[in-house]
Amino acid sequence: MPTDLRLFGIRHHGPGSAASLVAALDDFQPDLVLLECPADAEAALATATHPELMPPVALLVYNPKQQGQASFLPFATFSPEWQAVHWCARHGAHVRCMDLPMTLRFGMRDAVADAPDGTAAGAPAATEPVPTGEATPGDAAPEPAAEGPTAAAPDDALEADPVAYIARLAGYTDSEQWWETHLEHAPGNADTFAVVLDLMMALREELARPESEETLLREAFMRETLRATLAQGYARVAVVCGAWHAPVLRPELLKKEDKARLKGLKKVPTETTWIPWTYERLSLSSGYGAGVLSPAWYELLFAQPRAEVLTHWMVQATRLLRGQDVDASSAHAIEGVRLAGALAAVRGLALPGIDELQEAAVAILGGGYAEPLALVHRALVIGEKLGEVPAGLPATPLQQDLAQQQKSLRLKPEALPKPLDLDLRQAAQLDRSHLLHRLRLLDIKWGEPEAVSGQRGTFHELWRLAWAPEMALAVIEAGRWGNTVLGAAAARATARAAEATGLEAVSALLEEALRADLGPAIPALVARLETIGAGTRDVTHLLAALPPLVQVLRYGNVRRTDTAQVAQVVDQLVPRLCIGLPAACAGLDYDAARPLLARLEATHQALRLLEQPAHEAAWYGALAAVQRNAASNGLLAGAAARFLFDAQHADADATATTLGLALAPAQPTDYATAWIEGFLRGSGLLLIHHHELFALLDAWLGALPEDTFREIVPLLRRAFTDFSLPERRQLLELAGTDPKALATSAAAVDFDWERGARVLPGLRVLLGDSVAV
Amino acid sequence: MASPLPTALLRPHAEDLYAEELAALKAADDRPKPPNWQLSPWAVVTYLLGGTLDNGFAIEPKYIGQRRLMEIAVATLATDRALLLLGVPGTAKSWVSEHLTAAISGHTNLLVQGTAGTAEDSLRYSWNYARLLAEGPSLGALVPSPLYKGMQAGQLVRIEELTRIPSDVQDTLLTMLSEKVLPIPELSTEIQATQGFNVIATANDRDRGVNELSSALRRRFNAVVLPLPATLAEEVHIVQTRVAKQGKALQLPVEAPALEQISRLVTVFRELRAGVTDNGKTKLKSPTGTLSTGEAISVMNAGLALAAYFGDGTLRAHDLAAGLMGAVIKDPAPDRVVWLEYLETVVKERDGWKDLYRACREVVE
Repeated sequence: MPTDLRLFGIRHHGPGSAASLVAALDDFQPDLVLLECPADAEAALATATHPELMPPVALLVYNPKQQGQASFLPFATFSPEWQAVHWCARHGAHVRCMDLPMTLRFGMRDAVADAPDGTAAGAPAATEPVPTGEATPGDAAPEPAAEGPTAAAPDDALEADPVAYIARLAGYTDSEQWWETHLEHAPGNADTFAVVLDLMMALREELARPESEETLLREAFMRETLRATLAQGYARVAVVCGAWHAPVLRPELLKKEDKARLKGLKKVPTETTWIPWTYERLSLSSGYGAGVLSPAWYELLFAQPRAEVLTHWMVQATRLLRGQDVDASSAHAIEGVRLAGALAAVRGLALPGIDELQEAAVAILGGGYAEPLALVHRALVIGEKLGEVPAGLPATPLQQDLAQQQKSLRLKPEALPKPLDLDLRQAAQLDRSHLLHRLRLLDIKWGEPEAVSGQRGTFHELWRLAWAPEMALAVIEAGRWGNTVLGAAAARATARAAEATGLEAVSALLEEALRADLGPAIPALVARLETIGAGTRDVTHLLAALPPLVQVLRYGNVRRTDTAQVAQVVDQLVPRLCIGLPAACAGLDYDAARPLLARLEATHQALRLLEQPAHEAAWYGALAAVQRNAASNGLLAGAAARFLFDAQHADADATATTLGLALAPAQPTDYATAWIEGFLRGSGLLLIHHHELFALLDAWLGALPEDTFREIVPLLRRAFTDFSLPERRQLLELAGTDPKALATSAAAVDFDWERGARVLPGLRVLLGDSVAV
Repeated sequence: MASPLPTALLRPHAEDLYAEELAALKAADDRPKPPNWQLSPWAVVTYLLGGTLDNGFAIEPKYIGQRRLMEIAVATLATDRALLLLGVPGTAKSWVSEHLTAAISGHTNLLVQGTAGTAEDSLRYSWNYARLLAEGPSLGALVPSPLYKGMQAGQLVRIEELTRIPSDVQDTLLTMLSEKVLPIPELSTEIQATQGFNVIATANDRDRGVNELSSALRRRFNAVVLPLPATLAEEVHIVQTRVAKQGKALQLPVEAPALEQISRLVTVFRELRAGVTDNGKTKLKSPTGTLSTGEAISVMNAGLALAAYFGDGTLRAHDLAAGLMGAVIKDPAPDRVVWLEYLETVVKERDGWKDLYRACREVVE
């Protein structure tokens, strides 16, 4: 009995295709549907009808021995393949996968080692032996294999969605609209798929572009499967494949060549599982080659009758905006639909598409501005839907990677809370710490860090471990970020940094990433820090951000960090900070100035550590301005004077003048006391060694009226409490001596220079010749 | 000094200046026209954005920018909704409005200039008091406003600077735009708008605090925001042509500024406006001013005047520095920080910009 064979060339993720396909299958009633899916995904695909599997989901085919080798086949409800599988389940027809199995495709690429950390992020497309290989976007994400090659080049895009290619030629940005206008609404074309077949045949002939070896192999395998299927005597067979492949999937083509081509291919083991997917990942903007521009819009197109879909969209948009307190009434929705129609007419389109809808929404709902509509774009064009996968399905690579690390680091997931003390000087324990920090970044709070008590030092970390069952689900969900704990945590940290708006949030994230040793994420975090730093008008945030960066730069304590990038950020941060500093120190009260003082000090230390003359000059310039500015807070002005003195940018005479001015009777007393506190901060040695400063202070104190003195004693005590006991004793002695003797004592010391010079030869012997004495 | 020709108009109307183009488009236009339109929507868009007709006639672009925006504008006017053009000063709002009117209605005479003193009369109608006293209230004694005429004749009416008009006067527009009716209670009659009547209003969206449109009125308008030029090349092109034209009019004895100077100036403006350097690597703060293309043109003109009368006749960095600083620093405290940061982190490091850096630092201290 001859088999009735029909080819259905579809658009991957095309709702029009999906609707046409369902209608065509209803009409044709096949016993068997052949899908363009890797043959080794067949078993998993059969579980697609599991009631708890909610699209968008992706079939993940991966090499269990090398988890960087992975392919994602995403499905949404409006994907024709998804509809085909469900149609078969409803009608008791068989489903078979006909595409080249991933086990062979991975084998072809095996010559090149993937990124050692197991994420695909490290493997740029250029290193792949096959040009249409696993070109993955930088965020350890997905590889679109449902349609085979990624859209790295225009030619690949042509194969991924040839309809989009034709639509663009015809001036459409939304290929769905082209499909609809030309294939579904064109009069007299009852059979959409026959038209598509003709179109693709013409296109393939017209372009006559040499196919890549991988595409040829895939097509050969598909034909072989087709021939084998036909030999089994099915009565009606439907082939559902990307439109591009439809013309060559005829059983009579190239029989011998196909056999020869498929001989002797290398195999690697593969495993398959389902993972939850998102519409954002399905969209083109995420870098997914066969992605579509507007998943949420496509879902609506598939779900609603065409006549109502414009209204549905516009009404949803107004409702969404109303929730955000934007004026959006039903009248707005009516005008929006009308404008979209008029716009389509001006453009000579039969029906408005998502572009017209969005532009009409901007003009009417957004008052001409696109910003308020960003939310609408996110929710109703891209979509925020997250798929669901039941827990019982096979383990994902991330779960396996975690299990493997738990085993090798001997950390068992137990529900009973248990403390863990890690000594970070030991490599194995450091690895444990990294793992726990990485999991925390993925929102898997297995370990809860606890405060370390004082004497244990910085190389100890105290954790409380408790594994909760719902963490298993969190691990599955985190699978969308990457296939290894490291890769997923890095991708997640990068994404969070991209969303963060505050400098401190990114600083904190950077710190967490350093603790988790997330090498691959550091450059992105640093870049984000730079972007936000430039927009920050609050100098305190800049002051807070600088010291850790200098640490990174000076000691390179972050593995694999691109220090040049950090240097660039520092080079921009320092001038900004110095320009803004004087204004930031002015007009503050004591309580506001105190936290700033600590930051000033940290920054001062950091910049001295950096030893960059240009930065130091800018910093001291800014400090001098702070110290001179009469509006500066006393505490900060005093501290600035001290920093300048310590760094020998102001000599003792100049500092004495400054001190004198600060303590002059014209200054308010609280300014003077704050100034002293800032100036003496931490150490009294300054006063002990520089008698002229001591004398000034002494004179000022002595001249205070008694009432005022009583008032400020507690404040002064604050300035002296940090001094060590011997320092305080020496100061007391000084205060007991005659002020006149003090004033002259420094000058009175009479050195016998000749006697002093006699020790120099001895010193030279001791210290070596190279020392100039 | 050569005296200007006494008969030459300082500024002819758009429909007179481009009469030839409009005629050619009309001849070639075979697409459906909305009632009372001189051209089809397609031809209007072509007139604004330029192009070549099938017979080889070249249409000069009037608006350089996104096609999308002009399409929305024309589509709006083809429905019965009014069009509101928004944008910072110097983004060609009035220019686009004038050309839209010229192309759609064939003339641009119906114009209301919005000011703080615009009264209801100038939107509705006023009276010729001599005839009002002599004849009593009659149509003959009534002096129609541009809106009145536009409703009668089915033509486009322009309202410039809508947000400068006091709010209570703005609300006069409500009935005209929603009911398409202008009641004349004195004569117990009304004017009903004929097809083709519509309103194009322009408003400046930077000066908040002038009379914001009520949400009722705003709902009658479709808003199109005209942005600043999208690319460096586009903006340099605009500045160069305008500066060359104006330089000729001012008769400055100076050679045309080098493209390099213009492109540096425009780069500074664009980077500060966008808050990021052109290579996208360094983030910047933006000053409070608009830094529109119009301002870039005036900075360039001021620089040329300096070079001509006080310099050696060639435009140099120090001729631009003062004007540049004036354009950037509108609010002394925050803008000064912005400008200094920009100088220190960007201008200082850039190859070939040393002269500009030095000139600007001299002025700013």
